[in-house]
Amino acid sequence: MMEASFVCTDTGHTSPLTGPLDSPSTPSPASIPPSSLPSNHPPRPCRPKPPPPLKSSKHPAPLHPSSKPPPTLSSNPPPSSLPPPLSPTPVSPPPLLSPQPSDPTPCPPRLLQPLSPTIQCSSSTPPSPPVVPPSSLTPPLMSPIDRLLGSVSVWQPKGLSQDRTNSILEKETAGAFLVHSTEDKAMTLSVRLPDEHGGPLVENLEVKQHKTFLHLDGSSLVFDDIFKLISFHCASRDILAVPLRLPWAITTATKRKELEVISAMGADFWTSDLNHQAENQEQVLDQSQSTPFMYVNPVHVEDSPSKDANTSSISKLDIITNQNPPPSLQNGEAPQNMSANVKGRAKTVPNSDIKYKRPPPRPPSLGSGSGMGLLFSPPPSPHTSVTDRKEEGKGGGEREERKSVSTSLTPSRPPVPLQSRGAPPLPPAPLRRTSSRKSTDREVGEGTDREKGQNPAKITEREGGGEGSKLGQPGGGGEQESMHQEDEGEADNEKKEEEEVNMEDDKQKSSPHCAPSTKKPSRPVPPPRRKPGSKDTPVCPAAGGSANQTAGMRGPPPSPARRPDVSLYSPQGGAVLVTDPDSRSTSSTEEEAELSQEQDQNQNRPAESRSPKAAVKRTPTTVMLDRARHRLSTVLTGLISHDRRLTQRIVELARDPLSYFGNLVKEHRSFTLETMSNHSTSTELLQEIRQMMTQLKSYLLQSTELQAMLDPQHQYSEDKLESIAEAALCKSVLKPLRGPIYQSLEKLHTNDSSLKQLAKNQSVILGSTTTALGVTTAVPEASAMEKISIKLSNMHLEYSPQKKIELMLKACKIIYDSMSVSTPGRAHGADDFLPVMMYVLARSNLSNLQMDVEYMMELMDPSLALGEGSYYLTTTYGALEHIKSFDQQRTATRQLSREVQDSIHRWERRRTLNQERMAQGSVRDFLTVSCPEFGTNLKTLGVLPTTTMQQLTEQCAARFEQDSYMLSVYVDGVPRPLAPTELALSVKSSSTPGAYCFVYHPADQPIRPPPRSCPADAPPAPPAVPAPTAPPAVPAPRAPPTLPAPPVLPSPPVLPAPPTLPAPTTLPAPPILPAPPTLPAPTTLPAPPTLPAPPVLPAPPTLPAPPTLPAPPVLPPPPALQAPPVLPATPIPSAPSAPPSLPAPPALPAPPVPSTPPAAPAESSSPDDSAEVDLVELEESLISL
Amino acid sequence: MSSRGSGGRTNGTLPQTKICQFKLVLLGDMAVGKSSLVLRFVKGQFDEFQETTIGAAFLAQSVCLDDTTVKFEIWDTAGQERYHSLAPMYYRGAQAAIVVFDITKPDTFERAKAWVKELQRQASPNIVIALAGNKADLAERRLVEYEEAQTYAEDTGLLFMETSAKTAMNVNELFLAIAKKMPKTDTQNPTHAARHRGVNLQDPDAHSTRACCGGN
Repeated sequence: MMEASFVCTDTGHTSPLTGPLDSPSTPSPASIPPSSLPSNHPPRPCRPKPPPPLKSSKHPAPLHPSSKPPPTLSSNPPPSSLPPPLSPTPVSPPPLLSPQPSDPTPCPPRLLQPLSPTIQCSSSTPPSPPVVPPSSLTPPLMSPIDRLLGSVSVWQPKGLSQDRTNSILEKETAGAFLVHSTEDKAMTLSVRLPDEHGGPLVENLEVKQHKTFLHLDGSSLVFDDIFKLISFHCASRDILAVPLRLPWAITTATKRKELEVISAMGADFWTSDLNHQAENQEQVLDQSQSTPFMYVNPVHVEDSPSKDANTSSISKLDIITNQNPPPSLQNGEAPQNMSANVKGRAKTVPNSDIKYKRPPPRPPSLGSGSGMGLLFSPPPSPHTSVTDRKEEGKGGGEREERKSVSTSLTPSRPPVPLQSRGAPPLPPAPLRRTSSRKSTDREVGEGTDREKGQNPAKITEREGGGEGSKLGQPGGGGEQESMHQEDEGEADNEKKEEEEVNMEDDKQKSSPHCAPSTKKPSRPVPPPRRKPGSKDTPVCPAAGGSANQTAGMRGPPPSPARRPDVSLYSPQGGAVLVTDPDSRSTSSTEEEAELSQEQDQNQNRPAESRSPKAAVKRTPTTVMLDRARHRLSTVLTGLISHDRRLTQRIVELARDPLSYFGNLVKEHRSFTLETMSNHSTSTELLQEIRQMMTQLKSYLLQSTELQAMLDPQHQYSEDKLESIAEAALCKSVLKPLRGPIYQSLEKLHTNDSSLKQLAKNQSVILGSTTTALGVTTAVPEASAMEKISIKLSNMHLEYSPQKKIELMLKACKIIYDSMSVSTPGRAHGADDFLPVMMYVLARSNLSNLQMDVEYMMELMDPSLALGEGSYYLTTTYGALEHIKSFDQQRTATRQLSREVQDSIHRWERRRTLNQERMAQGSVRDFLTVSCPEFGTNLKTLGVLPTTTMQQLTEQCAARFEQDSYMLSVYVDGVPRPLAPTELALSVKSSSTPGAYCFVYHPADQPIRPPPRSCPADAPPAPPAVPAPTAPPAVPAPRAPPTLPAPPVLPSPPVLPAPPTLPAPTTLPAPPILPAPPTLPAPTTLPAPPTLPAPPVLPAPPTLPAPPTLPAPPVLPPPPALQAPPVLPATPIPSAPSAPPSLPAPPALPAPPVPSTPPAAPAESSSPDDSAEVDLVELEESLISL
Repeated sequence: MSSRGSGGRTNGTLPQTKICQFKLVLLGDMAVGKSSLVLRFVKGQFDEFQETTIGAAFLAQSVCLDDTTVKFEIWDTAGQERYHSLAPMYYRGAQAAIVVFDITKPDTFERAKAWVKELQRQASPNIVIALAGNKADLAERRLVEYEEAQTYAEDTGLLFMETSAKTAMNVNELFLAIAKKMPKTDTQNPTHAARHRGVNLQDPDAHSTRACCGGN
């Protein structure tokens, strides 16, 4: 079953080339070969693709835009649409290096060329790029897939008997292979093994068909067709003893004609002079290869024909890279490459050197297709990565992690990655590619994350002394450890493989080059990615091509289908796939930890099975099992990948200063920080924060920004969505606030002397006998106590209330376990537990615990039923209170204060109330006030719906510490009369967003009227825009993702748009207001409107940025977006009519403007008012309709 | 009692089963069998609908009653006198309470009466209180007469049963009686309920099973 799920995405990508062939080829190779032979590139459609890659302009040409471009030049297409994001950012860094054409991939030299061209194009920086590209463009260059396709008759000759196969292969070098079919369908792959094995020289593996996929017997990697299978195994051996390699003459062929000649010979090629010549050369090369140079071969490609001059330089580069790889490996592959380089390269342009150096790992090219994992190696310096791995000496998983990390640095989300990936030679999956890639990338990233997560987890566990294993809980560290061990074991086994892979990657990098550049997109770019949703995000690294298949073919069945891709990669390189969707996140550690946790839960089962095995000595079989397990776990992880991805996207959104939500978060945070010291009790302080989070969540859940991020193919239940939003909010809000919160709590508790009280009585309890405490069972021994204290200290460090609670429960579990030591099998109730709990607490850091308990109680998601967590929180809290009130004199506890007695009940009520409030959308708003002049000393004030101007003035007096000032409001630069009883929010909402300014100034000193509108209000709107952008980048039709969002905003068609589209708009305020309407809920919740206010502050930053940032990318999409938004919105009234009649467009200024980024910004900046008006009109008209 | 899983399907639980979640607190002196009582309830025939918990101090169990699924979150309290002061934190907000005493120990009955009094004074006004005279299997050593406890319970408006955690006598009956007495009006809204349920209550089989084993 598992196997079925795994699909090699890589191959899929590459498939585009084979496209035509593919369908037939899948099962029966026979059909393909003959026809293909005559013309080297049987699939004409495919042909076009390779060239396109080289030149971005060509992309469109490919049959299936999505599919073809992706392979080689995938990058190119996107660039056109999203020039700024992809090429500029990414390219700039790597420009020098990027040019390098070298393709490590043995099979597909061609790829390199495409890559280099792409890179150059995108980067625009590269000096000589122009020159190179042309050359690469030339038809002569061939991708690995091309070569494979062109030589089908050689490696899959018709009517070849097993004996003949053996006799042919025995004369070849390791890695040579033949595919022959015994009967109709059964295919066998025969591979020449290295001589040293002493055993058989030829390994025969059956190529089995599983449904529509092919896989090697014993391998769980499945492929669409034999070409993909072969190309994959050219890059990664998977279960093979050695990676496959095509005859040297084929890999070095630079022209189709050469291939045609070869293929015309069919099986006779093997005995021909051509082959032998090549072998001789190869051997010569091999010798030379013994030196570091060997590695160079990868470079082979290609770029272009003139490489001679470069060779030397290349070789140097290679040396660096190669040193690590084992000689044997080099031998096999190097020769080919070398020759290829020499020959094909002779013509290489001078720049090639540079290019070589920079072997971007991403290379999706065929090679990549074949060796997905490989591709992922860090773009900057593959060599380094290798070294790192070695140094680490840890499990393969860690290595992988490393890779991922490096990759992650470059956040190539959607667009870029695609391009790079697209490069892959494999012809197959054309259209899907985009979408699939995205998914793949993410998945890959997830996989990486997961792995990352494991490590940290492991570490922790180790510290804990393997306590995890004792824990019966799923998340137990023990499992993790076992997994880790396995990983390590695998790593050892696969080290060689990995290295090989790396080398190969390097080789293949040619195509990858583009990818690296793409990856490094500047921040601005990110937003778009998110919106695209899963589809868009094409993380670069991931295997580029492979993902496509899954997506395309399977479409919806996301997690499972996609996972396969990951699994594919992982097996080979281990975690090669590092592409990390989350890379951008600043807090990788945190995420890792989270991942690990998730893993724990999700992988419990697998882990259990593993642990035993881990202990087993590694035999080849066990290795295989490990791999299978690894893949299995990957698949399982895939199930949660969606959630994780979404969480990550929300976190990114929250960090995006251009998004409305990001602005809100920022506002809330700064407000909280500013006012944190104003609270007199810890409860008040924490409640304030919780309320803020609840409001943010409420907004988020209704916002189009979130809707835009949702993967239309993946339906989330309301609950699920809410919990995801909660998790994301914890990360974006609580994480940065945790430190300040604890500081404040400590201060408050120091002031009320509760900490002192605790410390004082702690010693008393500590001195009590267990009998005095009421202990009737065994108490935790030293080792258990240590484990508990580790859990508790981890709990203290955790920022998420939910995770804190989990850790607390784990600590309690350890207590239970240790209690059972003396009386196994007996269930312990509170009579037994509480005394032991007291015993344990007396030996813990009570100060931290006190704050932790509060933190958990008040900040946890009020909508969550705590159940068990609630009970143990109560118990912990009660125990602390008990200690606090412990009366030394009486050696007993005084009656707890009424307050404390009721505390839990009140706490529960608070939570309930909170929830209700949230449900009602009672959102607190924010107003930005400047003092004493416009735009100076801006402060954010929290405002309740009931806050009057009078109260606001008082707040200002407190905040600005100026009693004598007065508060004025200017609307469009004109003072607006105010009544003290007027509600602050009504003032705010009575004027067009962005048009008003609150100024707190000396009464006798009128202020100079501000500009027409407050600068402060920078509309965060941009978010919408980015989304559109993303789509363009992705070959696949992005539009859809965006569209879904609009639907969300039912009636308020007009309003919604602003929030989404506003990207450029300078004035945040206006957009904000509209935003609320966007929310479907609006009817119920007036709240949304309130939220908008916050944006004011952000404005300043926003203003400048808009023009530059997203604009370009946005341009293309806008048109699409706009239309959709309007329509969907309208649904309620009359969708069709509304748009046309309404001036709606104005609302979304930017979008309408097709391609002028500047225009959009301008519009937005000047005039929210107009936009607003338009919106209103629109709305009215809609209503009328 | 042993009919678990068999025959009950007939009640055809309707899909729109209401889900009510209640917090039930266990009070009583040490060693009167609070935990045993609950464990018998939870580990007995309702085993499969029990939520896994890290320990016996907190247990969760769902019971199916007609068209309503009642989920009990059972909060155990420490019976030691020294921890008496913590009890309010547990019973405040609880919708139900079982006050347990040992029929072989008169002082536990006195203590139970004190708990009842405290509950009636300080707990939620609508709290459903049940009095359980546990260890009924030790009837030969009985020191608290059934009639005495019965009378007390009637006077104070309590549910009363003599139970035996050891023989399972009246254990399920006690919980079901409480469940029946709980106000079912506060059924949570669907989303809420979904979020709160720890068991798959949608499973018709599960419902019927529970219903049939009610042991009424």
